[in-house]
Amino acid sequence: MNHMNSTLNALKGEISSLQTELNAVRASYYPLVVEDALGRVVTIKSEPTRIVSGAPSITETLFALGLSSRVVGADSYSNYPKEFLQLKDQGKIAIVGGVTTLDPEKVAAQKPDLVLIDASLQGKFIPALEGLGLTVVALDTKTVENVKSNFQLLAKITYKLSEGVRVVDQLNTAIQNVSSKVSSFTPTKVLFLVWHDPMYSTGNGTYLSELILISGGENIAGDRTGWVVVNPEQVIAANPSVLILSSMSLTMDPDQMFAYFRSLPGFEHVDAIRNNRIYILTEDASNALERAGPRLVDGIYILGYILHPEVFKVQLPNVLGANYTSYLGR
Amino acid sequence: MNPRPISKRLRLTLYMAILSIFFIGAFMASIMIGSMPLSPSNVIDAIINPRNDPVASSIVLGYRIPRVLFASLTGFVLGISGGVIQTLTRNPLADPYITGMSSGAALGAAIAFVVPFFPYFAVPALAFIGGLSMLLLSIFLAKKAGAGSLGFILAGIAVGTFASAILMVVLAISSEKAHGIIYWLFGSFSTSTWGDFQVALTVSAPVLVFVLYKARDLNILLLGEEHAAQLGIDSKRLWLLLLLSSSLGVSVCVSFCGIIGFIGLVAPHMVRLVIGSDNRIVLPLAGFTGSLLIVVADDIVRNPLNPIAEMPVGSVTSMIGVPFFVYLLIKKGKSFGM
Amino acid sequence: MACNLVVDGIKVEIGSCKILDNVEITVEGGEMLAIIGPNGSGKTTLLKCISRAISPISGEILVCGRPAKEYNNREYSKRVSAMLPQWPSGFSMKSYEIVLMGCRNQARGIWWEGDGELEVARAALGVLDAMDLYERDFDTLSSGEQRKVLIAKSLAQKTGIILLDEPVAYLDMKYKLEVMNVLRALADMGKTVLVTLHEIDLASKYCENVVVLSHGRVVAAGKPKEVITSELLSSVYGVDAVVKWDEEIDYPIIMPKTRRIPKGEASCLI
Repeated sequence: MNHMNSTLNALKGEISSLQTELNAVRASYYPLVVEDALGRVVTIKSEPTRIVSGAPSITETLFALGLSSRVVGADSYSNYPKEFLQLKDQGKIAIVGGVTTLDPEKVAAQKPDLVLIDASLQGKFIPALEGLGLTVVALDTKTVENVKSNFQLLAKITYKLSEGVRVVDQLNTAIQNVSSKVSSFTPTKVLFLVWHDPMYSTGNGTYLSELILISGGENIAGDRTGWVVVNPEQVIAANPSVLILSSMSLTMDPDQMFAYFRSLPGFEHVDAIRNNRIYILTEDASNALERAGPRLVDGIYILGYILHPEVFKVQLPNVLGANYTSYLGR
Repeated sequence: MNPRPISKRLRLTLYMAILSIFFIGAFMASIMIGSMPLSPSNVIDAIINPRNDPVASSIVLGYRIPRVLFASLTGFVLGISGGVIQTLTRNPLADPYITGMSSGAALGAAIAFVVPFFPYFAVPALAFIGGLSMLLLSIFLAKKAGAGSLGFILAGIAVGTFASAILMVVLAISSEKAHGIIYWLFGSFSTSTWGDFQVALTVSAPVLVFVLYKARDLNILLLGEEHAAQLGIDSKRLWLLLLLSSSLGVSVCVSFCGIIGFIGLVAPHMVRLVIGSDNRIVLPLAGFTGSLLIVVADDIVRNPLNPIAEMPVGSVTSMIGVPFFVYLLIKKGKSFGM
Repeated sequence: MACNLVVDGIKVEIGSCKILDNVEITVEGGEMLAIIGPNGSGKTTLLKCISRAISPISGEILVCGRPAKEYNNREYSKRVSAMLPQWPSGFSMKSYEIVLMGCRNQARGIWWEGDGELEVARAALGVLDAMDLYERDFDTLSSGEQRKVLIAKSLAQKTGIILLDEPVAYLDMKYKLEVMNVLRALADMGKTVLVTLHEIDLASKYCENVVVLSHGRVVAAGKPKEVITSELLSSVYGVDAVVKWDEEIDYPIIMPKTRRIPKGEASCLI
């Protein structure tokens, strides 16, 4: 009995000293010096409790890391997850402007201790924000690696290390799942459009083109870089098997859009049109692919299902919108 | 006989006094407006006792005041430069951008946006370089053609169109960045800082002083280079100096805030309709008019009651300026004879 | 300060066209010289050379004994003033503002005009009996009135040499004579006055000497009585006329024999 008691006491002692050590580590964690996507060296003085997000992908990442209670401001395009919309309606999260039309004054009015912005679209606001005495960290969203390192950087800054690991893991698992299953199959030729007139597609060098590769697709516009315009002749020559249009909001309803593609001269010879493998992704389904955040996981599965139905045995409808999650078995 | 010119001096002082009072009033009103609701006493308190409310004082001192100051400086420079260029080219339809400078600045900014090598703070620098190099190119071409002020306008149009053409190509191939470039083109003060204001002031102040100092000779240049030379002015040199200095001022402001049009064209005319064409009076008053226009426009843009976030300042200046200009035209159009 | 003017063998060419060919003129202080000739003979070009708006290809112009090229703008504007055709500028300036521009070379203040300059401007307009034009917008004046304002501007420059291109064109008879009187008075005060004129009779009456230009060359020079003859009028102007000098009023009377257009020639215009 005594032996057990003393062992227990020894254990308790060890636990409490471990606790003290942990607390000490946590206390000495800040101030923390990090380097952001623009190479700026930023000092995080203490654990951030009032965070403003400048872009939807950043908002979604913050929520995925379990930081919902600490977000006090976001851009007007952010709309996910549901918890975010609830907090916004309750007035706990303020809207601080559009993405390219961020309002530094509104940002400062939320008294944030951390402001997160998109490096390429919002870099111009950095001098004004710093002039207001705010701590600004800029994130890049160009490659899948960027997305992963953004997860890690944000986790590091907010001391949500285990959550960060989990989110990165989810993404890696999805990538692994899909790419391993499709690797033994011929890549499907796909035309991925973000706009129908003119036809805007992604060349290589964007994270979308990476996702296409991962999901077993061959991007017919992949020989060019960045966002590119494709003309109908190029499409007919490349003859994609699948056509995907991803747009948050459509200018015509899906049936009209299908008819539009079918009506383009010469398109009746394109495999994608002939086999009715035209897919329109809109609203949340589109966001899952276009926001460089945690929902890329969904995006990878969507692409995989569309490009290789023979592998995943899931037949997605030609139009995917807000209810896409039901098709992903969730 | 008529002691007219003396009362002219009096009239000018009176106008300047009234405008300055107006302007200071508008300035103070501007600091009261913004997305964060602050009452006037809050604002004044934030300036006097910054420690009481650090958030309010950082907004007022670190954002609103520099923004309004920079906006008014830009309006001032645009108004004066517009008057100068109209006189130098003897063309009432000229504005400071007639030299192709605006297209050059836009092209410089676009390159800074698109080429990954350049950091985000390179935009003003490249815009400035782009604007000035197009200006120098126009001058060079005009000198080669030797055709005087009309030749200069044509050279400016040619150079500007060429720069615009290249800009269009850049916009086409850089679609995801295009939004940022286009937004810069609209003109906006939402990113203005103390640093912008200081740099712009340092460059524009000596330039403005020089231009105002030479206002009398500028009047004489209205008769043409030949006649001005016969009256004793080193007209070729003065013409070039005035052109370069006013363009320099515009270039430095515009490279920070983007191309804001209409003011350089219209502010001098608004003043001329009331006062006549003596540049000694027209130029400073055009400057103040430009400042007022821009500050009022920016107030409309920044007003929290405005549902459209960050409307382009340039379109607001046109929207408020045009009706006023039309009113003046109708009222005084007959004396605007040519 | 009075000054003499020497034009020595100047040539001006545009392309292969000789505008001025070896023109030589000498004018002393206190003298008024008229340059006459048909349209296109080079009168205005000659004045432009002397006012330095154009550079001749060869030859020299000497002002007060020094080559014109050697002066800078300011110095030259104190010696030579020119009244040349004016382009409309599109910006309304008041007449007195334009006259005041002539005082620029005497300006002591860089910005505002001093009282001395205002006096000069008023005097210049006053002596031309144009004070009623003082406050008027220049662009609203008639051609004749505009000319008066421009002459006033030249006078305000207070130079020793005054060049005037067609100063009395568009003026009615009374003002023609008034302006010529003023110019004569200035010459009598010691200034050197050079005018181009179409009015041969005025030139003969008011000027000591006359130079006749034809196709860019000096074809005659000397006292009006000797130079203005029917032969000259016929060879230079292509006009058949009788020239009589009235001894009493010392004034030439030129009676052109006009050609009546025969009825047939102009019948298609009816």
